[in-house]
Amino acid sequence: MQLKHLVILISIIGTTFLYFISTFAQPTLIDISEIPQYEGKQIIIKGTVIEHYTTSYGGQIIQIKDEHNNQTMLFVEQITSVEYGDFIQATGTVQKYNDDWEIVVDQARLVKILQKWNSTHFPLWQIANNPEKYSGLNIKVEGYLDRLYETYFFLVDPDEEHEIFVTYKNSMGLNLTSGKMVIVEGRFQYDEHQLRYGIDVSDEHHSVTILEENT
Amino acid sequence: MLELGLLIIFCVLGVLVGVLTGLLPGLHVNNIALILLSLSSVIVAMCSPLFSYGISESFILLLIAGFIIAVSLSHSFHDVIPTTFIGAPEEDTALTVLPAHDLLLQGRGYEAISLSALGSYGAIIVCLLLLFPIRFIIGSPLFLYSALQEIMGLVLVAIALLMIATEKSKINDISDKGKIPSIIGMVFALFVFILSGVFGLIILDFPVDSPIGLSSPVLFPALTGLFGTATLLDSLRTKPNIPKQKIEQLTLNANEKKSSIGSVIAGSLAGIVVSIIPGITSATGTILAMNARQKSGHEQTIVTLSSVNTASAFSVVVVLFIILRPRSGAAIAVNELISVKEWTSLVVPEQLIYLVMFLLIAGSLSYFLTIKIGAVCAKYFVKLPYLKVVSATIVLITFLVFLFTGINGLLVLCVATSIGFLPILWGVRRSHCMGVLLLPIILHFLL
Repeated sequence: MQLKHLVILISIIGTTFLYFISTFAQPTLIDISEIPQYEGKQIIIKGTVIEHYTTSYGGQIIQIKDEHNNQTMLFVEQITSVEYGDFIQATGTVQKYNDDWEIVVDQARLVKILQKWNSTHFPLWQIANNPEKYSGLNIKVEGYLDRLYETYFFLVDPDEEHEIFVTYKNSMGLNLTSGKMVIVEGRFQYDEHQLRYGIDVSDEHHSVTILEENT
Repeated sequence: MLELGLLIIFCVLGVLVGVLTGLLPGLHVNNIALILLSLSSVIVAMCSPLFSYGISESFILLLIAGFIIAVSLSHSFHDVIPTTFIGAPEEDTALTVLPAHDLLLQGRGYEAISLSALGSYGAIIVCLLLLFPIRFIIGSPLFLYSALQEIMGLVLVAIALLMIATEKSKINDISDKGKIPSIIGMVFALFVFILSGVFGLIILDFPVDSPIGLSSPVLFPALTGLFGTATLLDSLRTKPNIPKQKIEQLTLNANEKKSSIGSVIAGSLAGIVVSIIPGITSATGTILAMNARQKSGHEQTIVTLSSVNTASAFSVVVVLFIILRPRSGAAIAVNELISVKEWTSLVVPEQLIYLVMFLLIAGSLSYFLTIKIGAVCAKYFVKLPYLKVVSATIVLITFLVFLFTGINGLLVLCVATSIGFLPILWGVRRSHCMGVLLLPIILHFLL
């Protein structure tokens, strides 16, 4: 076999070999608290989206937190479809930006939504036990409609032990009646003026779905 | 006055360090910048006596940032010297190897270096003239950054098709009748492009790790293998005879001057694009510029490529102040050392004015030093045992690859060298190996 034919064979075998190695060797999955140890390295990180916005340069900033409330910022060079409360996984490079750590993610495909915020719903007592954990996130809760007003109502659980204040826009055209069992999808946040937590049903992904009437 | 004096001292030191790193084959400027960044606290400690003269710590940090910029700019001038004489490129000079090395074999190595210095210095002037246009095009009110990203994928597809369709080599292995050899030449070019592209896609997520904790760019072993070690090993195989080098001052006739100005402008614009768009490197910028120029002569290729490299080194600093995103190792270092203030109005931020001063002084010094050092190298190079120098360079590059990217980097280097050998042995253009960057970037923009 001539050298020039042999080199074709070696190149193809070598590339295939690298492919197999790369499938077994992925970047390390780390906790948010470990980020400073991985400066300049590619890592995988998981967390819940607590903030996201697009930049004027076509990128996206996503802030995530873990179950211990450790937070970090992802800088994504493209726009993703994440929403508040989504549990995501991102692959990117750790770097320091103005004294803060951030993960630079080159492509939107490297941000995977592992669980959509509205794929499960929580009982009110679970949220009442640990409101900080859900603060700023989109949540989906089930309960009964109580004390209905023009732009807000209260959501109560079956035992009427817990209740939460829900605000909504009148323009959403919701046909609501007190006593109905509903699923509320909205953003759970602390209201500084009222000094209490509430659910804000305000964007196109939010809704109030009627399930049945209380008898 | 003391501040100006310090600025000049740090700038001169930066240029001298850039000369050393530029002359060391295979060492990429991004790695140098990050190594210097890790030493910044030591440099601040060494400069602490200056506090008693009223120099603030923030100004010393600015001087260190300027020093790193001067190193990177000086490096972008001087790295053409090992590229020309030994054929040992780094990532940014990968495409220069071929024309510069060819000129060396014609006894015109010094001319290659002079053309490169001209291209680099020209790029500094063009970038300076475009300082405000860049600000308004990339930043408010136009924000063309996003628009540029949208068309980039299609532009790169067109470039790839053009590269393959213009392959002129004929391969007679199957048949030598009619147009069959030409068609097989193009098919083989496509094969090299796709194989390099697949290789690029695989190594993008390939984990490489420095055994001594340095930053680990996977493109370093990949491009060194495709364009560097393959060429060096071929030199060992074919044992070329290096003729005595002519050392004459560069003179250009009217046509050459016109062509060179066009190459500098095209190269500078491509270098600016490189500094804005994430994921594309100077090598991709060169392909953009060369296709825009449609001049394939060795001389114009060298001028264009050097313009791309230096324009990129210059404009990453400016772009950092406009979009607040670092696009190179030097920009990352600057971003970490000083608190970058966004350039939002007509007034140029004070920090940027200082850094532009660093760029201008470092650029002028580097131009003259490149010419001088190039002349010395051209005079004494023929007296060196060429094959021993090439062998030592291969050993050095392999060692550096291990130092920066570990065992996995060496694997990448081996496969890349093998792919880099394909165009050499089959006679097609080596630039098809740029599929390693082009294919992943095309997919990045289109998918």
